[in-house]
Amino acid sequence: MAREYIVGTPPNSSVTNSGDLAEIFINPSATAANACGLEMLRAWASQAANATSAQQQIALRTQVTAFPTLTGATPRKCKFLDPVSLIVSGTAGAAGTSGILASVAGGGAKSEVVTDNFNVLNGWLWVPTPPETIVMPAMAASGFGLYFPAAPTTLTGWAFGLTFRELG
Amino acid sequence: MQTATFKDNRCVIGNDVKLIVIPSRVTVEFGKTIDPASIFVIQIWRDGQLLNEQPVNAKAAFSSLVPRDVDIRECGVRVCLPNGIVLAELDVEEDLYPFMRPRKEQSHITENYVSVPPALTITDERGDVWSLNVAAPFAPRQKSPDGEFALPVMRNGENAHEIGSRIERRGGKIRIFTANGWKTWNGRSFF
Repeated sequence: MAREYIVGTPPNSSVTNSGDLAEIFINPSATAANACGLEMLRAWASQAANATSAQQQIALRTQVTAFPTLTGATPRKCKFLDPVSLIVSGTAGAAGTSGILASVAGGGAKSEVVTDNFNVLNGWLWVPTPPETIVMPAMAASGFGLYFPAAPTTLTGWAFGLTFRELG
Repeated sequence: MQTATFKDNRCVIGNDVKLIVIPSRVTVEFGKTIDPASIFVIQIWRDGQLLNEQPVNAKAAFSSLVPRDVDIRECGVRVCLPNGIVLAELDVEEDLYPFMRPRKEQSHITENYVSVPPALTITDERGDVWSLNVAAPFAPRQKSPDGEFALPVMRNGENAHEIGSRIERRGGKIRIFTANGWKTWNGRSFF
């Protein structure tokens, strides 16, 4: 049965001033026991540091090894009675783990899936139509992430989120 | 800057413009040398800050009642050209050091034609923040517009009791796209 989870950052997070880093990264499981595909349902980014208008690049990408170095983050349940996610917290971007706020980009090749720009006063929300949802199959060699291709002007006060569904 | 209190009845004549200020009224009279087609600006100042300004033409004398919540005895009055050249003024004290004052709270009103998504939030003139509840599961298909995911519409973090796939700001109004088409916010509900 499909279950939905959210991986997100705390509301007042700081991003690294290096640019091209994953702010959220999730990697489908590689073991048969925990095999499940991941369907990406929506993603968002916003900041609450100031009221200064500025444009910001953002991208949804896949990345192969070497994965980014992250702060581990456990996916949160959308429905209270659901079991915990098969994806667990991890700092290395490895298969079956999720993390936030990368400090190191990782050398693995990145492939653009969705690229966009937004005004930081309005925030950014990606909601695909049902046929456009992005599916990362179980045991895929790639992880999936939300990236800032360039570092923002203001590094503080950011919040990011990614809602996904476990398939299978 | 300390608030000063000026005389009840004040009058000044400058550049053939007569400015009269009494507690209940501001009057401007234009002399014969003034071109009747000219446009002037009347400014009300208090504590070094411009409170209000109004363009007037010189065809006839200008006279305006002072609002009840304004004590004109604490205000300076200036008559100037639209380009800022002062013709006559009474007790206007401009703040030369505005950076020393506490800044007012910044407010941002979202531009017209911004849509959620791809924006995350929309702020309207009242300061209400509109968004889709990204923490909620997608609405069932029968409650969603055809071919689109829909989420609960939120106003200031509270459920607005509507399900929509998009929120737009257009013509100064907030609109949402629902399974029953577009609905517009009238200040109390969507219709």
